[in-house]
Amino acid sequence: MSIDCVIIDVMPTTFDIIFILDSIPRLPAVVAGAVLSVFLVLMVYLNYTKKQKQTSVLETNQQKGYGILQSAIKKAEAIIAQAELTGIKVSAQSKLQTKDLEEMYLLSVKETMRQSEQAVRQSQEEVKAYVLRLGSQAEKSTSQNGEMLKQQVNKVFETFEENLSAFLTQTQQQSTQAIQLEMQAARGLIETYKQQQFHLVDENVVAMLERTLSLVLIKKLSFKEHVDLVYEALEKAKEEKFFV
Amino acid sequence: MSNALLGIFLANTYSTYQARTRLLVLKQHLETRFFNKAQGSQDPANITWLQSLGEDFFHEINQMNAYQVLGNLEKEIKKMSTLTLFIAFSMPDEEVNRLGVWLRMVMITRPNLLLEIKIDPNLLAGCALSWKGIYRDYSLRQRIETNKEKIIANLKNYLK
Repeated sequence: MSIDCVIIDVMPTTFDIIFILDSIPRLPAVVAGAVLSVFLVLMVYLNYTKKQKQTSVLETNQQKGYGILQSAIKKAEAIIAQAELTGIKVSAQSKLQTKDLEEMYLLSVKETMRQSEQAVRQSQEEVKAYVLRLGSQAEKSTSQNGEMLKQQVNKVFETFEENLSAFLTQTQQQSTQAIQLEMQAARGLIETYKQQQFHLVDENVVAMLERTLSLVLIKKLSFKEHVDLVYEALEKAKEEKFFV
Repeated sequence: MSNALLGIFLANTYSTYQARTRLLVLKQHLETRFFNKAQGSQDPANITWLQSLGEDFFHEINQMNAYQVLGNLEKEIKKMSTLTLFIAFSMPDEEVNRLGVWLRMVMITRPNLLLEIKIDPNLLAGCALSWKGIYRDYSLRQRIETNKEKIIANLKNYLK
């Protein structure tokens, strides 16, 4: 690799050539042409040499690669064979382990089932006992509640009876008072009405008397008697000094 | 106009009705006398009254002051205080005159007192008086009203 790099590095590039050309002092055309031709030939030779070297390196490297590849293949095959063996071993071991595990699992499941059944049975027993206890408690509570309810109902009835009695007594008193007041008011009204009627009768009596007198006096009193009554009235007014 | 004319005019005139009537009679008489106006038929009582006035009454009256005298008489009569007498029956002039004489005798300070007679049959009998705005009832109706309780009590006792 280092040789190839050197060779490649020795090869002048176009820029190098242009540089060289530019660095050459201005020569006559013939000299310049000759120099250029020599340079070109040199260049071709160098290029050829470089290619030859590269080809030989490639071949060497190819041979080396083939060797390495064969060695790698052999090693890989050995590894694969070893791996297959190991796999078979592992597989066998895993089968054995799986079987053991299955057995253990079955045992475990059976144990678990047994325990669960036992637990369920125990729970059933407990629930049954609890239900029975609850039933007895409920029965006891019901009887107690019934007793309490009975006592409360009795108490309520007693209170109601007392209240009703008091209310009835009060109502009776109020009714009696109201009736008495009504009676009093009615008596008052009757008395007022009686007085009004008496007053009306009295007024009518007086009016009837006046009417009767007016009818009677016109016929019964003479003119002289009328005049005498006027003088009598005037005498009275005179005595009272009404117009004097 | 002298008070003498008013005195003569009211000498035999005792009520406002008589005074108003006699003023008309006097007016007719004066118009006939001074203005030759035709005179209608006259009540004999009025003729008698005119004659009772005497010639002295007409001595101061002439054609020039006749209406003035009448006007003054009317004014003076209107100004005079009157005693209103409410009675239950109609009273003839003679009785009114007699009553007037009696009243003027009682009320010496008012020789020219006039009566205003008003009929109120509800009084039954007797009279009621109104003097200077004060009314007083001396009628039988008032007596009944005053003694109403007694009358009713008596009636009740009688009915028992």
